Amino acid sequence: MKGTLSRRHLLKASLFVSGGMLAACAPKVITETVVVEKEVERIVEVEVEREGETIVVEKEVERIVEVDRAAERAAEFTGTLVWDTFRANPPWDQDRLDNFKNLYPNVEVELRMGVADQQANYGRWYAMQAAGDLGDVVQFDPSHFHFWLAADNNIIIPIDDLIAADDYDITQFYDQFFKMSEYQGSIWGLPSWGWSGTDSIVVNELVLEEMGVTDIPDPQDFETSWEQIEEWIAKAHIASGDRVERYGYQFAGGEAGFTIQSRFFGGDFINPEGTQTIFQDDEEALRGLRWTYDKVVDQRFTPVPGALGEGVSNDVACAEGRLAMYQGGSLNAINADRAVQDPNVARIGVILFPRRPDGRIASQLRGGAWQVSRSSTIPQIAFEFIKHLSSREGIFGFNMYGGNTSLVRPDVMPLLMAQMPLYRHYLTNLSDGIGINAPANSRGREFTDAIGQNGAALMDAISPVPFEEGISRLATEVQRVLDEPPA
Amino acid sequence: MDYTLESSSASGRLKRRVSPIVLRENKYGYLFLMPWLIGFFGLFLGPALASLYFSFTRYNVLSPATWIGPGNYVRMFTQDNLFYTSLVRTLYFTGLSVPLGVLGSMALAILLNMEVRGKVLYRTLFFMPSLVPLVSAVVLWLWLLNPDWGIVNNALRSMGVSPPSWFGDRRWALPSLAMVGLWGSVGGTRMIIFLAGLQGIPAEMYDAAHIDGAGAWNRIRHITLPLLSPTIFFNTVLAIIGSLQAFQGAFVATEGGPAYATWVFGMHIYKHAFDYWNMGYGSALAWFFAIVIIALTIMQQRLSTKWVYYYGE
Repeated sequence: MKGTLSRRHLLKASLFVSGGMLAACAPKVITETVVVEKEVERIVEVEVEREGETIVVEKEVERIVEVDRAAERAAEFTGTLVWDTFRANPPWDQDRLDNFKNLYPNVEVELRMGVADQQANYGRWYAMQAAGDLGDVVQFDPSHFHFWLAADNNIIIPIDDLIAADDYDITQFYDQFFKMSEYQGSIWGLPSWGWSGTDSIVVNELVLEEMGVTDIPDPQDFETSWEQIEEWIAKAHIASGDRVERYGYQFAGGEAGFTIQSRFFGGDFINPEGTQTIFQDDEEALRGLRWTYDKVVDQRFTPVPGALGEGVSNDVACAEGRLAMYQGGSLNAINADRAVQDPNVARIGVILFPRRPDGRIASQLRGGAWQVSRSSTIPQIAFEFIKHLSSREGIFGFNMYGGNTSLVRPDVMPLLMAQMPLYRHYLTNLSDGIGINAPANSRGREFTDAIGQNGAALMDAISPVPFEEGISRLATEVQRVLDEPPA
Repeated sequence: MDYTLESSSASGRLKRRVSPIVLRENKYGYLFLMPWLIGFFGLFLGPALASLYFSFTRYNVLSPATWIGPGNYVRMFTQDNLFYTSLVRTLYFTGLSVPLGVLGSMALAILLNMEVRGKVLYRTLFFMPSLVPLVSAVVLWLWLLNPDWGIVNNALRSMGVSPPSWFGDRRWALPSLAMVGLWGSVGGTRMIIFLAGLQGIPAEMYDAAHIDGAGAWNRIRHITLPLLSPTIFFNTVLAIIGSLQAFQGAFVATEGGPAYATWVFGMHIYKHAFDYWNMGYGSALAWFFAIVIIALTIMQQRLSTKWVYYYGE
C-alpha cells in the first residue's frame, strides 16, 4: 500500500544508514600536500678584510642569524597541528604548547592525550591511522617495538630532508639515542624519552649501612664484584618461615630485563640481526641468566609476582623499606627517590653492575621518538613542533615537570644532576650503552610476550623448573616468534 | 487492531488496509526501533560479517587484507601451540566455574527462599557483590589475596595452613580467577532467576509431599529439582557461555600469566587481534570459538530433553 513503511523498506533503510556509518569510518584519502620551506639560524663562512698592511682575505666562521623565512611562512600559516601523545605530563605539555604558540601564533596545536599506559595507546593510534584520523605528530617508540611497524606500514615519514633543509644540528643528542630512529638508511624521528635500561642495582643505602657498608663511593669510580653484590643481597634479605620482612633483591623481568641479564658477563639474548636467539648457546649469557635464577629460584630472595601488592612497583617497595635492592635503571632510581616518604626508612642509591670483560656495563638502551605522520599535510610545521619538544628546554621540562626520564641530550645532564645527583651514575651508559636488538620481522609485541611468559616460567620460585629446561623452553618459544613472517 | 479487509478484484486475494492511525503508530514504532536496527547492522552484523571475511585473510589493519583461504584455520590447528594451551585453560576455568557457580546460586536461592527473619536483608547482601564491576572486584581480590600480607593468607596462617601465592602461583592463578568470578556471580542475577523459578513451584506440591511424609531432602530431590530443571538448564547454558568468554579478569589480574597460567581463549583472541595486529588470525580464532560455543549450546539443548522437565506440558 502506498505510504506504508514496510519492514523490508525499514530494513533497507537501516542497512543504508549502517553502511553509511561504516563508510564514514573508512580511511580518508589525503590529496593535498602543503610544502613550507624552513631555514633557521646557521653558521656561515664570510670574507673579512683586515686593516693595515696589505689587504688580506681570510676565511672566518661567524655565527649569523638569517631571516627566518620558515617562521615567516609559519606565521602566515593558519591551521591546526594535531599532537597525539601518551599521557598527561602537566604542566610540561601545556608549557610546550604555549611556547610554540608564541613562536607560531597562527598555528593551533590540538593535544590529544592518550592513556597513561604507553602500550595501551598504540592500538588506538593504529585504528586512528586506519580511519585517516591520526595526528600530525605521533610517537611510535622503538623500545616498544612499534617504530619499525609504523615505518613499514607508512604511518610515519623519514625526516632526513627536513633535517637537511633546516641544517638541524643532530649532534645535540647522544648519538645512540638519535640512532634509535635510524631505519632503512633514514632518520624517522627526534628523541623523546630515553635511558639506558635497567643497567644498575638500585639500593636502599640505609640497608647497606645497616650491614656496615657506610661509605658508598661514587658509582662512576666504584668497582664492585658480583660476589660482593650477592653477599649484600643475602644479608639484606630478612625472612622468618614463609613471612618475609624485607626482600633482598628483585630482578627485572620482561624482554629488557632478560636481555640485560644475558649481557651481564658479555653475552646477548638475540643476534643483532634479530633473527636468532643466541643466549641458549652462549656461555656468558647463560652465566648472567643463571646468576638471576640462583637469586630467584634457588635462594628465594625475590618476591613472587604480586607479593609487593597490586600496582606497587619495586621503586615504591624499596622506598618503603620492603625491598633492599633491585635491578633498575635511572628511571627507577629517580622514581624510588621521589617515592621516599620517610628518610629514616630509605635513602636511594645506585650500584652500577660490574664492568664486563670488554669494559662496558650491561644495558639495553630504551627510548622513544617524536615522529611526523605520513598523513600530515603540514610536515614542516610538525617538524618544527617535534624540534620544540626535543629541545634542551623541552627535554629538561619533560624530566622535571613531566616526571619522565629523558636523558637523550648531553646539555641537559648538568641541569638534571644539579637537581638530582642520582642522574650522574648513568653518564657512562648514556654515551656507551648497548643497543636494542629488535626482531627482524617487527613482531615486537609477540616477542615481548614470549619472553615475559616463558621467562616467568624460568624464574618461577613456586613451581621451579630446572634451569636448563626453562632456558630451552624460553629459547624455543622466542625463536618461534622470530621465525614468523614479517608483521 | 483496526484492520479493514477488501476483496481484490483481479486475483481475489485478500488485501489488508491499515488505517492512518495505525500507520502513524507503526512509523513511530519503526522510528523507535531504528537505533537498535542501526546498532545491530552497523555495530554487530556488519563487523561480524567483516570478521568472517578477515578470517580468510592476512590482515593487520594497516595494510589491505590479503586473501589466504583457510590458512588461518590451518595455522591454529597445526602451528599455534598456544591455541591448545588456551583452549585447555578455558575448559578448566569453565569446569571450575560453572558447576560451582550454578550449584552455589541454586543453593543460595533455596536458602533465601525459606521463611527466615531478615530474608530481604540477606538477599540484598548476597546480591551486592554482583553490582561490583569485575575489574574493581579483581583489583580488590588482588589485595585480599596478596601472598605476603593479604587478609586471606594471614587468616590461613593463623590456622596453621601454609597459604598459596594465588595469582602469583601458576597452579593457583586460574582457580583464583574462578573464585573471584564466583564471588561476584553466585549471589547475582543467576540467584534471582533461581529464586523466581523456586517461587513458581506450586506450594501445594510441597504440602502434599509433606503430608505423604517426605522429608526436606526428598522434597528438594523430587519436587524442587525437577520443577526447577528448566531454570537450571537456562542458567547452565548462560554460565557456560559466560565462562567460555572469560577475559576481563585474566586481563586485569595477570594478563595471561604467570607463565601462560591464565592465558584463556579470550586472551588469545585479544592478543592476536589487538596487540599483535594479526587481525585476520584473531578473526579466525574468534569464529572458531563462536562455532564451538554454538555447538556446545546445541548439544546442551539436545541433552536437555533427557533431564529438563517442563511442568504442565
